[in-house]
Amino acid sequence: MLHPETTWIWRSLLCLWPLLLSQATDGAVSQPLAVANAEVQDKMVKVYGVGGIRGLEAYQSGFLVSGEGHVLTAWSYVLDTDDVTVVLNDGRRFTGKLQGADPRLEIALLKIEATALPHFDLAQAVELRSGDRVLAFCNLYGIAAGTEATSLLQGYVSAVAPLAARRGVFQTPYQGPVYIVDAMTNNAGAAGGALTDHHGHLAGMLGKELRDARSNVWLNYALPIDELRESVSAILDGKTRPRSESMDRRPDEFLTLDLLGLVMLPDVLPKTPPYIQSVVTNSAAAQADLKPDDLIVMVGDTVIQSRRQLVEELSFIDRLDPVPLTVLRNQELVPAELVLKANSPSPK
Amino acid sequence: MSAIRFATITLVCLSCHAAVAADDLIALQQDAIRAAADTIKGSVVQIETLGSLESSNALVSGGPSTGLIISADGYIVSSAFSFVQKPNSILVSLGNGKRLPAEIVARDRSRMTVLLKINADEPLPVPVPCERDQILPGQTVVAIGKTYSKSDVSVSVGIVSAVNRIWGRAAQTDANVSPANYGGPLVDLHGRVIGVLVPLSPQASNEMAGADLYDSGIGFAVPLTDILTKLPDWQQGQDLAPGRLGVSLDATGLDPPAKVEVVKLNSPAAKAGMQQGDRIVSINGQPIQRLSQLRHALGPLYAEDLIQLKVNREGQLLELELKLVDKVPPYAHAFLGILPGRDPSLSTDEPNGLRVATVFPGSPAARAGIATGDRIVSVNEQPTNEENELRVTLANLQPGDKAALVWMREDQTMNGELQLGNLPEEILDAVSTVQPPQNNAERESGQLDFGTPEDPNQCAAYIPASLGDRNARGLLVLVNAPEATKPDDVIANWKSVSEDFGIVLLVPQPADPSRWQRRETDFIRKVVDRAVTKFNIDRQCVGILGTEVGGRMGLITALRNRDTVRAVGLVDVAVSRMIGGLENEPLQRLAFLMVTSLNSDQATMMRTDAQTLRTAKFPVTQLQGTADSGKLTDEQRVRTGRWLVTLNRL
Repeated sequence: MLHPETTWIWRSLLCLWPLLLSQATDGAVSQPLAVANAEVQDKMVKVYGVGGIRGLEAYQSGFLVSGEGHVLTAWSYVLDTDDVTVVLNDGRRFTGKLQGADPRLEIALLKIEATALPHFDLAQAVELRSGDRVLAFCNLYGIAAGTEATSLLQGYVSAVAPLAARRGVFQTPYQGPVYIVDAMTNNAGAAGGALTDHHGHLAGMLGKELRDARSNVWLNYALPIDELRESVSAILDGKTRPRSESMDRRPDEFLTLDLLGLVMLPDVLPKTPPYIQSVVTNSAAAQADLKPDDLIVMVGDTVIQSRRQLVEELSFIDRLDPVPLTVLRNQELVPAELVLKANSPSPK
Repeated sequence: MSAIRFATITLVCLSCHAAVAADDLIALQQDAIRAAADTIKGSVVQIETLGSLESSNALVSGGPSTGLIISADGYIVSSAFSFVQKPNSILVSLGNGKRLPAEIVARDRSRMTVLLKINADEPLPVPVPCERDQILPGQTVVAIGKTYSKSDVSVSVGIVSAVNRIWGRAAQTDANVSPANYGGPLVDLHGRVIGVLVPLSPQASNEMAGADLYDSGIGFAVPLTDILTKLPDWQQGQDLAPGRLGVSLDATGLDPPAKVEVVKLNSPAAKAGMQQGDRIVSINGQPIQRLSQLRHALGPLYAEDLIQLKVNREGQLLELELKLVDKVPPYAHAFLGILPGRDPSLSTDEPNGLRVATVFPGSPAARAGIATGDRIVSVNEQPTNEENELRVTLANLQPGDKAALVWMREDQTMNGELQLGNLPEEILDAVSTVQPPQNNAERESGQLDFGTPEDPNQCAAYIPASLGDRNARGLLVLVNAPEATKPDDVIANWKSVSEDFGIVLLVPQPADPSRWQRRETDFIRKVVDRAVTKFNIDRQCVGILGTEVGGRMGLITALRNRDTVRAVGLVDVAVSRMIGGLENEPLQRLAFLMVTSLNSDQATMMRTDAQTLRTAKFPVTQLQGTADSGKLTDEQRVRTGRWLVTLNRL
């Protein structure tokens, strides 16, 4: 719905844009993105390490986070060597020593022997909202070399959303919020680059190449600095985090279709719809009044797309916990709660 | 809203101070984009699909997709892409968090959208459409999706790149368009809806077509005004289909004139009395000279639409009214039973009549007494001095039709009436392997590297030494399953067939050795074009033979290049999903060869495929393979060669 009382404001603003643009042509001062670029580039570095296997690139991006040569970058195979080279914006080359890494966030901190370097202050990092204009600084495709500045890309924050991971199929250790941007940052060498607002204020670090589990498209995203700050401090304090524990959070005794008394349509297709074929008498399913031909559409708030996913989803629920299900019956969503009786036999 | 007021006041105050205002401008743009997103937000829904009776595909992950509310009582439009797996159930989440089951009401196979219906218990917010004439290239637009969150929309900012794309069906934008926002709206800065985001391709028309362009700077939106115009019909549950006229034009060359070459039997064109040779001058008052203009005029139209059509028939202007249809009855090619002149003894220039090189045993020509060496002068009083003249004349007839033939034997004129048959599916037992000298420049023969400098793909070629300076009789592209057989081995297997029949072989390789990608059909097309030109290959004898998954790649290539590829061979591969709705074309013939191994798990589906293709009137030649899946015997290769070089049959 249009908000009538504001429509006129927008119309008038839009009319003024070209006027403003025509006035704002003289000098860098009137080109705010150029000003931002000039301020940021001195803080960017190009990182070179190992690669070459299976066509993997041996370079990525990073940025300085202290005057004493701390470089924040992505934790990747590029750093799997004692011989990491860090090239500053002015072309100076240093050997980067790995200070520490956080495998959960997939970030690493390198140290080079230099002082009085221009750098970002992580404490001053800004938070972005959907619709914010952003700049991305990175050495995508390794185009920049020596004294060449990293490539500058512009775009908008598309969404601030959790980094989706498909459980059991493909997962990232980090599943917290990320900035999804409409600039094409999902390219070789971009990982470890900086995402800033249009003033050049640091907001995030460009993530590694990744496909979105929800839509299967390549994802252009950055990790918010807010999410990284604590981990960077820990590394600076010498506390390297261990690699995170297995993602498998399955309880020891989890739920199965048998335990609940659900007999489903046989699983014959990659995405067999989870239709109930029959319900075992006196079972939890029967007590929740589930019926043959009901289609199970949700477990909790998770939409169930196939019989296989239903089995998978149940395996994350302890057998003593109640199971909130939603079924589709006669084109209506019907909620049901299944509670296992205490004397049910244990799963194998 | 106070921020906006503040921004406005700031803007007005500072409009004299350009340096400061430029910075503000960015802030204002941000606010404008967010305001546009806020305006439309309530009308954008998240869609989740459940269960499927189809197997999965790379880009179709089953993740949530986006939809746009278009009526207060619960009609929602989305992209057909999100429903390609034919989901069992659909859930729609409204902005207020409420989840409701939805049903598909109807589909639009022209603009690749779907209409859904939910039963909402309160009126839903309906967006304001942007009129078509107000969609201006260059204007700032925002592509909206709702796949990342149930409550918030995602934005991608760009401009309108063009209007009237995809033959008048869509506006184009450089904002990011992908499965993350297919089905969502493209809005202007007022939050008015320009269109619904969908993947589209100017060449192909299935649900997936155009999806490979995601986030590429080329995205499409079907104008909402078009959708609303058709909504009353659509709400009745009627699928919308592209409108068809039922004529074929000669599509060779760059944008040829809109001259009708074939009027398909029982088509709207035939019923309105259109004839071969008519030039289409206008449709609904829109002037037309060339094929592309005809496509633009027809593109936005649907089946059942009534159109006013003007044609120029030998200088006379005729006005016709006709109703477009969804499906024209399948077209079958009429068959005379000959191979046109190729015998060396008959190679001298003959002004009068088309030489008969071979007569198919038992064919209508054989029954009429036509013999090798005869020259066909006319069919139904249409002169047939050139191969193409006879081809077009026959294309306007159908099997079972009577045709009056005049032919010459030495100096004697003969004539007779015969009943035309169907294109044969059997392979001739023998075919002349000799060819007349052609005086082409000396060229290299044997195996050579035929790749292009600009593509990462490799391509091996084999040029038969037996060719000498003659034109090649056929081109066979061999597409194997990735990592199955080395190109050297493929060529070693086919070499003698190549030499015996004068067939050029091409063995293209995928850039990624582990898989073929759809866009690599462009590469195959490129090497085919180059080979056809370089070796003067008979354009009627260009075929692609694919083994196992290579067969799907071969078929995709053939279907995207109907103007060039005349035959598809499929070895142990079923292609059911790709041939539904495939239509036979009068001037772009396509013949199929299917080889099924004794132990192939594809055998049953391949039989169904053959049936599907035959129903669509394609000739399907079937060979029984050996026990070795994906392998041909020498004998089968010889028969394949003979099949290929006789595809110029008439």
